[in-house]
Amino acid sequence: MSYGAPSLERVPIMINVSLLQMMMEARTFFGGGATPSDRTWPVANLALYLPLLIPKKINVANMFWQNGATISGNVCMGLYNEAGTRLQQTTIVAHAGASAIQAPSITAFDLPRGRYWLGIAFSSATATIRGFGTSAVGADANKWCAIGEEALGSTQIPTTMTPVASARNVFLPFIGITRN
Amino acid sequence: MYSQPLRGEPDPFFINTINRVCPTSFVMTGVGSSTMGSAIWTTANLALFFPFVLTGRHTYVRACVCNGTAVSGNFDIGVYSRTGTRLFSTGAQAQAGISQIQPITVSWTLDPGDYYMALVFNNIVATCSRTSPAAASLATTGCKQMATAYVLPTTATLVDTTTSYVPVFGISEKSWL
Repeated sequence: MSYGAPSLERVPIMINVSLLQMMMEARTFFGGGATPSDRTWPVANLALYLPLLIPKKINVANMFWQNGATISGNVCMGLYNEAGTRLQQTTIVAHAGASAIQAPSITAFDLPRGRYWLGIAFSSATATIRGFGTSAVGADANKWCAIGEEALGSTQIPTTMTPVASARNVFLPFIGITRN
Repeated sequence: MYSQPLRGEPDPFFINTINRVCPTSFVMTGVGSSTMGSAIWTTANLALFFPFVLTGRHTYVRACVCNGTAVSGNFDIGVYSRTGTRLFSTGAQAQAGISQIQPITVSWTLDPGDYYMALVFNNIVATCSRTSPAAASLATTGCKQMATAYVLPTTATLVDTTTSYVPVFGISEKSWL
C-alpha cells in the first residue's frame, strides 16, 4: 500500500466568485459591494474570463452561473488551463430559470491542482446574471482582479482564449464550479 | 530523491497589494480601511515595501501601478529579497494616465520565496489609488519603508513603516493585464 500524505487543503463543495479560490478580494477595495445583485450582461457575445486557483485535485461535477430575473438568449461556459486552452465546456444552452442557479449537464472530470480560468459568454445584452458590481469609478477594478474579456463572434467560447484586460469597472458574474 | 509535491493554493496570475498574497490586504479589510481613494504620495523619494510570498516559480511581464487623479514626475517599481537586496526594478518611469492602471513591460522570474514589492515616487504631486490603514497595523504585517530611495537602491535599508498609505500596485504574469 502506498503512502498518501494527508491533505491540509479544503476545497469547498461549490467554488464561486465570492470565495478565495477566485481571487476576487480586490473588488472590495473598489466598492464592489458585499451583496450580489442582478447585473445585465455588458455586451452581447462578450466572454469574461475569471481566474480559478485549485489547491488539490478535485472531481468537477458541473459548472454553473446564477441567473438574474431577466432571461434572454443563450449561454456558454467553459474551463481553460493556465495557458488559455479550453479543457471543458458546456454546450450552448438557452438561458433559463429566472433567479435560479443554472448548471448544464456535463460529464464529470478530474481537475488537478493548478491555475485555471473560467470563461462565460452570453448572447444577449439584456440577459441578467447575479453578480457583484458598482457604479462607482473603480480605476480599472476588473483588471486588478485579473479578469480578462474577449469579444466573440458568437456565444461559443473559443478553443483558445485571447483576452484583453476587462474594460468593466466592476462586473463580477456569479459563476463557479461544483465538485463531487 | 523524493520531493513532496506542491501543495496548497497556487499563486495568482497577478500579485498586488489588494490580493491576499500580500498580507497587507488583510490589514486593510481587518481594520476597516478598505475604502480606496486617490491621494498624493506622502514624501518625495520615500519607498514603500510590501511583503509577499510565492510558492511557485513564475515570470512576470508587467509591473503596474494604479494612478490616481493627478499624475506627476517619475516612479520606480521593484522586487526585493527579504533581506533587502534589489532583484528587479523598472527604473525611472514617467507617471502617465489619470485614474487608470499603468503597466510597465518587464521580464522578472521569481522562485518560490519571500519578497517585497517596492514603489517610490520622486515627488508629492503624483497620486495613486490607495487605502490608508494605520501605519502601526501595516508594520505588523511586515510593511517597510526607506527614505531617500529614488531610484530604488541596490540594497534597501528597511525599517518598519510609519506611513499610512497602501498604493495599489503589483506584478502580472499576463501581458494583457
